[in-house]
Amino acid sequence: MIADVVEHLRPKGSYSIWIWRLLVGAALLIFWQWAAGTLIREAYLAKPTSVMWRLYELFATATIWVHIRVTLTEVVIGYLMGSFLGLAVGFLLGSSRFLAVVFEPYVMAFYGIPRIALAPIFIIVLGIGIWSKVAVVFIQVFFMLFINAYAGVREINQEYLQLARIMGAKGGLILRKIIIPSTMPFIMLGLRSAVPYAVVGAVVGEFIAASKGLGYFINYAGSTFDSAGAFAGIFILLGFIMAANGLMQWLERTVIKWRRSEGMIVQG
Amino acid sequence: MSSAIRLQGVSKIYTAGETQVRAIENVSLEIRGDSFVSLIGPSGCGKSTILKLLAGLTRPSAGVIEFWGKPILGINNQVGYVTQDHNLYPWLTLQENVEFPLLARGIAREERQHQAGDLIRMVGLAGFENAYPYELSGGMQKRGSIIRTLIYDPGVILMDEPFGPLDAQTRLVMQQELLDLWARKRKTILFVTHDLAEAITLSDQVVVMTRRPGQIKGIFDLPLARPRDVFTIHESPEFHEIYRRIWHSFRDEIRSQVGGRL
Repeated sequence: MIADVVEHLRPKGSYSIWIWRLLVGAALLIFWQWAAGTLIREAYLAKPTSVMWRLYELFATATIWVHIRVTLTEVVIGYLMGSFLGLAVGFLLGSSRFLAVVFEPYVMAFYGIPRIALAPIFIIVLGIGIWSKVAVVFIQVFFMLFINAYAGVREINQEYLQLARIMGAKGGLILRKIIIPSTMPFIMLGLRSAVPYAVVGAVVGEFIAASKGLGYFINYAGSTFDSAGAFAGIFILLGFIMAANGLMQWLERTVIKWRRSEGMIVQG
Repeated sequence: MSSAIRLQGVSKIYTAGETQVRAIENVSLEIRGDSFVSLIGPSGCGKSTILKLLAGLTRPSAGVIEFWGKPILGINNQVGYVTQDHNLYPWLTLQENVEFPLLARGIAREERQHQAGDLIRMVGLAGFENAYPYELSGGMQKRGSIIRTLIYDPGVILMDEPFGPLDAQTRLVMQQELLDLWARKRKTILFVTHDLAEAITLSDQVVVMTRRPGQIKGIFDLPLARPRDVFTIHESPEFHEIYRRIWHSFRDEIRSQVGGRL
């Protein structure tokens, strides 16, 4: 049954799929090019050609680099801190029933609120510089990794652990050889899903209060009716997320070699 | 020969919320060193509980358990445990899986590789050292999990329906291999199964348990000569005779279980 479904999902020839994908993309672009200026005024919706032109300008004059650098810095610092701490706390609570029971209501309360809503508070506390955005990114990534690591530790096959002890393994070895590898698929899933959340966190933070960064750039372009500029910023963010996703997929394939690549089903 | 395992009046009650399940009750059993003993009984009769007690994974509610004359305190890493699922670690290669117990015992890399390599060759898995468990067939996985136990040379090996998930042909092959291995490396084996033919084929002694709460119903010594050939042993009249005798005892337990349910 499952094999049938997989067979069905897998494209017959990957070339034809790519051609169709490109055709759909081209059709959308052509429609957009036509619609801007006829259906919607160009001041509201820039034509793709002007967006491309603007992107070229931004990179040619190097004015965009400062924004990219700021957003990238916020994302990377917040992401690294959030993943480390999220993993550590997830492992801790996952391995101790006592801690899990004590902290559960707090974790659930935090998990329930939209964490992006904390952004204004971080700005009050940490100012409009990068650190308030780092904090927003951090809190987004932290929960993603925490939840996944916690679930991963909880899902460990108990027989694996019991057999390891019977075979004479102790704490450190069990952690390194059993617990961490066993939770690795969960961790990789958390790391991958956290990427867009991290970018959203930085951008929203910059929307609220900033003087640099892609979020600031897009927000500024929007408020001055510079549609081409706003789209140019969005395309850069898109490139950002796609690059990070590619990196994560490569990392996942490198780290987890030991199972059939189920990911293929999703990726088509 | 001294007793490898001695259970005296052992009971185990599992508590799950309000309900208490009496898994085994007043079990007394003595297993000689280097003997192959099968434990057989209807499903849910507490066969696996006895293995868990011996591995130190759980404590008895009452009674005394001795392992080579000493009580079991905590996890018992003097036993080998082969479970129904192969339980090879999916993220380790076959070689790494087989080396794992030696790694846990702090044995040097070269020695680990040497010993694991020998065992892997012995069970005909040469060439698959770097394969991950998902790349191996059911029988190969099972061989892997058996040699992972043999590598640290435990005096007692507990096997919990190890061949349950295998197809009938692979099962026979594995039974023969287990007998050959056992002939070479004499161990005390306590083998849980619900397949009477398998129990007789392999064992020196068959212990029949009652349905839950599991008690010992009968202990049968098997007069079958060794070495045995699992492919022909069923044809001998002795096999039939002993099968019939044990089956009478075993049958009543299964029948009463059915009656109880209806």
